[in-house]
Amino acid sequence: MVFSTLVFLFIFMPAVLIMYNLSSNRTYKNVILVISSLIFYAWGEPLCICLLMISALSDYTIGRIMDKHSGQWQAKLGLIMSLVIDLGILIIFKYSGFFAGNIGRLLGIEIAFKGLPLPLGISFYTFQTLSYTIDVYRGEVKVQKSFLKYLVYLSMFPQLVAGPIVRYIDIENQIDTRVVTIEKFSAGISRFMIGLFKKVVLANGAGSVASLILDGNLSDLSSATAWLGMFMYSFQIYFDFSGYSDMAIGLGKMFGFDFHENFNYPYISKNVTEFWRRWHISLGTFFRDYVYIPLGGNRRHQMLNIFIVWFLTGFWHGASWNFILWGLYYGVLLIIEKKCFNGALMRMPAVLGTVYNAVITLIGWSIFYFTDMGRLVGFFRAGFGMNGLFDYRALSIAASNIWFIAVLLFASTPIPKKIFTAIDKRNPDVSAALSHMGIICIFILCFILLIGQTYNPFLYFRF
Amino acid sequence: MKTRNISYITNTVIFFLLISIGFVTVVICPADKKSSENENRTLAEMPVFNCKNLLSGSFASDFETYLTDNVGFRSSFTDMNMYYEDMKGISYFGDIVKVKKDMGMESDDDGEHEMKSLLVLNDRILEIFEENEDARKSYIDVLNFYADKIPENIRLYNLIIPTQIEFTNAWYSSASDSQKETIDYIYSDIDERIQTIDVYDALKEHRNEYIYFRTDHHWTALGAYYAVNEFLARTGKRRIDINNYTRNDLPGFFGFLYGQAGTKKLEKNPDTISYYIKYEGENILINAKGYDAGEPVDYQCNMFDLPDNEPPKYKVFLTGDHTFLHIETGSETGRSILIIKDSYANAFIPWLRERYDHIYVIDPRTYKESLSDLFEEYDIDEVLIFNYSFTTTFEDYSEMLRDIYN
Repeated sequence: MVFSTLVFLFIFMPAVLIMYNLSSNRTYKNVILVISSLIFYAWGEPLCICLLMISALSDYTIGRIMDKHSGQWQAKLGLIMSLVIDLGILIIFKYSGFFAGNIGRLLGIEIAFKGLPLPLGISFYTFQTLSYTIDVYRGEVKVQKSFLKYLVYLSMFPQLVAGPIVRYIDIENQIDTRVVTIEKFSAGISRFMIGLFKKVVLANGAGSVASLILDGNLSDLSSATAWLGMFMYSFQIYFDFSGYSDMAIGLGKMFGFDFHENFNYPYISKNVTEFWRRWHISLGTFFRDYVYIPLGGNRRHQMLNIFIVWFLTGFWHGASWNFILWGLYYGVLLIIEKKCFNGALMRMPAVLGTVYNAVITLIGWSIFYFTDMGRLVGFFRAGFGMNGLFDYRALSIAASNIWFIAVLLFASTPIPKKIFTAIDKRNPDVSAALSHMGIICIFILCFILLIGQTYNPFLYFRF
Repeated sequence: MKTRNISYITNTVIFFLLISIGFVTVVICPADKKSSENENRTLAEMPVFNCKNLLSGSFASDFETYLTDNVGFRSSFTDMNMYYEDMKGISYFGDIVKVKKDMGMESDDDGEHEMKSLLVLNDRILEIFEENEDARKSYIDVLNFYADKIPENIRLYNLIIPTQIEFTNAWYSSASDSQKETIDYIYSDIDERIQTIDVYDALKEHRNEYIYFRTDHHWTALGAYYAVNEFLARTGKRRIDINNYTRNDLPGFFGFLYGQAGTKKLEKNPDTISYYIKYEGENILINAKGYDAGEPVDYQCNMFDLPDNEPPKYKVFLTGDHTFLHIETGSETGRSILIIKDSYANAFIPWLRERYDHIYVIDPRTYKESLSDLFEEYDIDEVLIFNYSFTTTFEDYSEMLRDIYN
C-alpha cells in the first residue's frame, strides 16, 4: 500500500487508528499494529509477506540462540547464518538479474533469466533485521524474547516500505514503554501532513515536469532544457523521499514511536561531506556503523574502506551499473574533499559552497537517473550543449512553472520552519492557528491533486 | 501548558473531521456522472474480490482506481486541479504538457500508455509532433505493399496532411519535429505508382485563415477545401469554388485537445464548426456498414450530423468514423473513389461530392472484411490513402492497413 492513496488515507489509516485505540492493553495494541502492517504490506504484493516472515522468524530465532550461547561459537555461527539468509534473500531477489546479465555479457552469451520481481521494501527491512542480529551479537541490545514484539519492530507499516532505516536499538525500549500523548499524536498529524504535501504537491508536480523532459527524445534537448529537467528531478527525488520519511515519522508518532530524522535540508549543504550528513541519514549511519568502522574506519586502509562503503551504497540503490557509478562518484568526491587542497573545499564561503554542492548534486542525480548507459551519454551530450544551448522549450517550461519552482526552492530550506518557530515563540496562539489552517489547506489541496492526477480522458467513448 | 493542550486537541479533532469528510466523499457519495462525460468513458467498477486478483496485486490497484473514479463531485475536483495547474507559472510563453497518446482505439486500454506532448498557448492547443522512424518505415512498407497488390487499372494516391504547428511562428514549431521532413521523406520513398499529393504549401499559404481548430487536433472544412482543390488539380479534375456554397456555423465546439490538455485557459474561446452546403437543407444520406457487438450491421448516417440542442463535435462531418461508407452523391461524373483514411478525411470527403459519383470510405481500425474483395464487388477507379502526419507515427495503424488487404 502507498500512503498517498485514497485507500490508505480514508480506509486503512482511520480504521487502524480507531482499532489501535480501542483498548489500552499493550499486547492488544501490538497485535493490531502487526496485523495491520501485514495487511498493508500484502495489499499490493501478497506473496512477499512470506519473505518478510522468513527473515523475521530466522533472525528472531537466531537472536535467541545468540543470547543463549553468548560468547560461544554458536553465537558467531548464528550471526553468519543471519547474514547469509538475509543478504542471500536480498541478493537473490534484487541482484540475481544483474549478475546473470553481466555474466552473460562477459561470456558473450544471451542469458534468458532476467531476474526476479523486487519485493517491496526489501532493501529497507533487510538492513533493519540485520541491525538487530548484529547488535545482539555485539551485546548492544537485549534479545527480544517475544516474536510478536520483534514483528512489531520489523513489520511496522510506517517505515516498512521506504524507511527510515530504524535500528532495533533505537526503539528497543519504545516497544514496551511507548505512550501516545495528545501532544505526540498532534505532532504526528502535523508531520504526516507535511510529508503528504511534499509528496503529492511538490514531488509529483516536479516529477511530471522532469519526466516530460527526461523521458523523451534526448537528442532534441538543449542544454538549458536538459538541466532544467534534472533540476526538477532533484526536487522530485528529495521531496518524494523526505516526504515519505516525514509521513513515516508522523505515523510512528501516532502510535507512540519516535524515529530519528532522515533528512536535514540536504540542499543547503556547502560541500559533499555535509550533504551526506543531511541526506538519507539512516542509510549513511548504517553503512558507517556496520561496514566502515568494522573494516577499520580511518585507522586502517581508509581509502579502500571508503571505496567499499560507497560501492555498496551505490549498489544498494539499484541493481544497475549507473548506481554503482553514482556511489563511487560520491566516494571519490568525499576523498578529494578530505585529502586535497588541505581540506579547502570544505571551508568555502557559504554561497560558493552551496553552488558547488548544487552542481555536484545535479551531475550526481544525472548518473542516478539513467539506468541505460546510452541514455546517460545522450543526456550528458545534451547537457553540455551538443544540441544547442538554449531553446524555446526551456523558456516555455521554466516560465509555465516559475511560481512552482520558487516554492520548491523555498520549501527545501529551513526558512519556513524558522519563520514558524519564531512566530511560535512570540505568540503560540497564532502559530497554533497557523497549524490548524495549514492542516486544513494541505488536506484540501492534496485531495484535489490526488483526484486530479487520475484524470483520464479518451478520444472516443469507452465502453 | 493548557493552551498548548487545547491546540493539540484541536489538531486531532480537525484531523479526524477531515478524514471523516474525506471518507464520506470517497466512499459514501455517489459517483459523478459529469466526470464520465468529461472523460468519455465509463467509470471504473468495483473489482472482483477473488484469489487470483488478490495474489496478482490487480485487486489492489483496480480498487484504488475504483475509489478515485467514483469519488463524489469528481468532475469538480478535476476542474479545480486544472485551475491549480494553470497557476503554477506564467503562460505567456506557452505551456508544454504531457498526455496519453490516444488513437481512438480499444487496444489503448491495456498496459502502458505511450505519451505525447501538447503545446498550450493562450488561444490554441497544438499537438507536438515526434518523429518515429520505425513507424515511418512501416507506413512506407504498407503503402508499397498496396502499390504492388492493388489492381493495375486503379489509380493510387497518397495524401498526408500536416498540422498547424508547422505553420506557427518559429519559436513554437521549434518545440516539434518537422512534419515537412517526414512527409517529404515518405513521399520520396514510396513506389512511383503512387501519386503523392503535396498540400503543404497550399495550407501554408492560407495559414492565417481559420483552417485548423484551436481546441481540437483536426482541421476545419476550410482547411480541407484548400487541400481538396490541390488534390483535384493534381489529379486532373476541375477545382471547386467555395463561393458556390453556403456556410453554416455551429459555435461552441470544444475539441478533443481541450479535454486532454486539462487546462481552463481556453474556456472562453471555443471553436466554431462550419460546414458548407450547396442548397438549403442539403444533406446526403449515406449507407454504412459496421459492427454491433461483433455482428455486422447495415445502417445509414448523414453527411453532416447536425447536433440536436447540444454542443457540436467534429463528428458533424460524416457523423464520425465508420467501418465502411458508400456515398452515392448523385453527381454524374462517372468516377468513383475509395478512401482509406483516418478522421482527418471526414472534413475533406464532403468536398468531393461534386467530383465523384461513388465515394467509398474505409476505416482500417475497424474494417474486418477483405479489401481485395471490395475491388471485385464495386467498380473503383481511384484509391486514396489519406492520413494526417501523426498517423504515420503509429505503428499499429500501419499494421491495420496491412491486415485489411487479404
